[in-house]
Amino acid sequence: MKATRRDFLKTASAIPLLSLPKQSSASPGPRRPNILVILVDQMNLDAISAYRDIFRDKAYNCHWLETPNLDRLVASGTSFIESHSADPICSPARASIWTGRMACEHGVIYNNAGIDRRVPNLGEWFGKHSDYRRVYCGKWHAGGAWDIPAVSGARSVPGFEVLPVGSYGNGKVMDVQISTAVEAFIRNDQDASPFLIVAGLLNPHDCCFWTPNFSKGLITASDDLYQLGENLPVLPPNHRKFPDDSGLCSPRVPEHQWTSVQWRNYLYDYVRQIETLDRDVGRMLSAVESRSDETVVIFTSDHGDGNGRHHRLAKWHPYESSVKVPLIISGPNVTPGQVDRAHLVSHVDLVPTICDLAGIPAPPDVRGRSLRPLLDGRESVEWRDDVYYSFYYTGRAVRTERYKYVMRYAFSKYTGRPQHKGAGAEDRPFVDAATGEAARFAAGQSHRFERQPRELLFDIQTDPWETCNLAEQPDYESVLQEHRQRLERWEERLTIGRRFDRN
Amino acid sequence: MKMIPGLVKIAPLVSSYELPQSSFPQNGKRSQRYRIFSLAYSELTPQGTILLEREPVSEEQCRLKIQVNRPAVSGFRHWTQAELLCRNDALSSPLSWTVSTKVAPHELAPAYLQSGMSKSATLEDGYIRYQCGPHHFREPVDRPVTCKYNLLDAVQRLPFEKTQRLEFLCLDEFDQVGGLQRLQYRQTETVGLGNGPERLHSYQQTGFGQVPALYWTDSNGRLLFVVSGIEVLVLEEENGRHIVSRKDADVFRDAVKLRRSEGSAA
Repeated sequence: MKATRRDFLKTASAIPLLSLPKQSSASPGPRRPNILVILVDQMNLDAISAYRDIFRDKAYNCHWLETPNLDRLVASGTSFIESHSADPICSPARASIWTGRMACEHGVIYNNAGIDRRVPNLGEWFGKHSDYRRVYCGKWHAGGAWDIPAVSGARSVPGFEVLPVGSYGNGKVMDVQISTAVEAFIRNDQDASPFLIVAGLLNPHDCCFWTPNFSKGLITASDDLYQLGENLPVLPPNHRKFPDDSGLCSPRVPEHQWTSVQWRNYLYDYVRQIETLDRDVGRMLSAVESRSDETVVIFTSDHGDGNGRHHRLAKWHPYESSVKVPLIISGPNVTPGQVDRAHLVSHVDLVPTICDLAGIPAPPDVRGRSLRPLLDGRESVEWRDDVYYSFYYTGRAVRTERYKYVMRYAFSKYTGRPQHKGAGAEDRPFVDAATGEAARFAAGQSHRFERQPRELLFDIQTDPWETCNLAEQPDYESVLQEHRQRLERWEERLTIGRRFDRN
Repeated sequence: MKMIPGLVKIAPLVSSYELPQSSFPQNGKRSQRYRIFSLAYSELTPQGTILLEREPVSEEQCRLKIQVNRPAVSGFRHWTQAELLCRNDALSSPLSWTVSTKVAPHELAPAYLQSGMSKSATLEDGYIRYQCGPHHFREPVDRPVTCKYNLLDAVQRLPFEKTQRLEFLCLDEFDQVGGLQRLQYRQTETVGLGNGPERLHSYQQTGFGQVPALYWTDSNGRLLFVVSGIEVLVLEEENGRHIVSRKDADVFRDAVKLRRSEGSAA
């Protein structure tokens, strides 16, 4: 039986605002598991070779690469297919992963903004309520204007010790540093307390430097420069489908930027970067397997990549290629080889899940739920029937089992970026409908804000490539209305944050 | 610069690069230092060095010492030190090797935050056998094997256009075996370098986990440039002698703004 919205609301809000006791290693009971979180950057859900039976269309990435180590993780753990980024761009997505809150709550609605100081990250929470050692290695980019955290000082990561690696944000340079340093830490660690270690790999984000619309284009004007022929992946069936050209989503790649063969070269290089990432994963998994104690491994990506679908690269947009992310969890009491295609899950579920696995309560007001009931093979679990995410500053989407609904509030462009810098500067990305002034969002008052007229509605079951917008079809008026209400209900319960560069 | 694969991305650097005039012992003892650059945000940014030292052991074998150091934040660097006994075959295939990695402020400093480890390995009877501390593990291999950095040595001993296409498995950082790789001769071009036009020869590597790479050598076999996606390697020192590029500026330390030519941006 599925949980109703009210059940979910009850569950999500029932987490008490307690001052929790700090656990110590001297506490009675079994030792809690170590936790390794591998967070990669811009990897599509379908880019794991073990998923070929799930994503059968040859246009999916899984048919064009080999990921033996991720396949091994899929075989040893539970993976989620309906797994969503909370806001598909680096900093907002990562801040949601580490706080369990939605983007407009932690305040990171665009890259490099700082997390609202009232919202603890996972490292800080663990530091207060457990004796876990917390180590962060690699890309952070979840608050504050930097990618790579330093050991101490203004650029450290609150709540974590930092294992310092590369100074520059690309995977080709950094990922091997991260994976060997994390491997060594896991192999060497003999502390009485368990560890929580994060490996923030950057690949396949390097593909952003192939992107022509950022003037970084690496692919030359020659077609099939490396004479790869049939090894080049095929283009997706929605490559030239444009359900939205009204500014609801971020801009797509302009026509004539690339030939079809250049697009295919891009896809070829993209999957090669994921294979490289797979070797980094293998290195860390072998270290976990060498230990005699128990370690939970969590693998996910902050967001996906356009991959030429809807003529898009990168992220920012609400399509499946951008918002769906791999999520695999293995470890003690996790059903091996389980692929969950039914439950709608979100990155905001990770904080409560990790807390649950570590035996400590989740922080107050997290928007997600612990995935633990879904990991241990229980036959029936009450679960949510919709999932919410934001995108591109003021975009909003709700996904139900069958449909995806997308809308966007008008964007004031007032984000508190440096041109507005000053004491008390805050983001006001919305537009007050009555005054036309830049405004902050207010929970439960969504009617106050201007909206873009266009909406999107896709039937994901019959149209997985999102080619046909049903929002303007009269037959779908009731479905549209229902999903508008679902969005409204999600937004009613958010606690809107402010932007603080506290990190 | 015309559309020469790979080199077009680093045209300003190539056009000011002064090819060493000294003899080059393809199979002999040598020491070469390559500067690692990344091509990102329209810049060529230094990202550490690879020191490759080759010493013949016998007609059939050589010893390679490889040290990779990469910059990290807070004054730290990431160090990889490997020593390999290799065959003198087309791939410089390793027979046995040791590799150590760590994050530390300098080469002799202790590893920071438990980040140091050492592994040893042998390749025989179709298996790579590793030892790391008390742990042993092995991995079957069904094709010729080499390491990513061994290819920097191997391509300097190949006979250009007479090179047969090589198919092999490649170890990433000395310990992770990827799938099938292919290395083949690509083309020969006359390229304008800082000290005049030179005939350069290239090999192309493709395969599992490998963004296509081009290795460019001079007519003596000396490897000058490697370009793979956003990664660029440039020979900057040979047997202790620095190689000049851009004459008036140290291109190896200062980021160079890339020329956005028709060829380098689609």
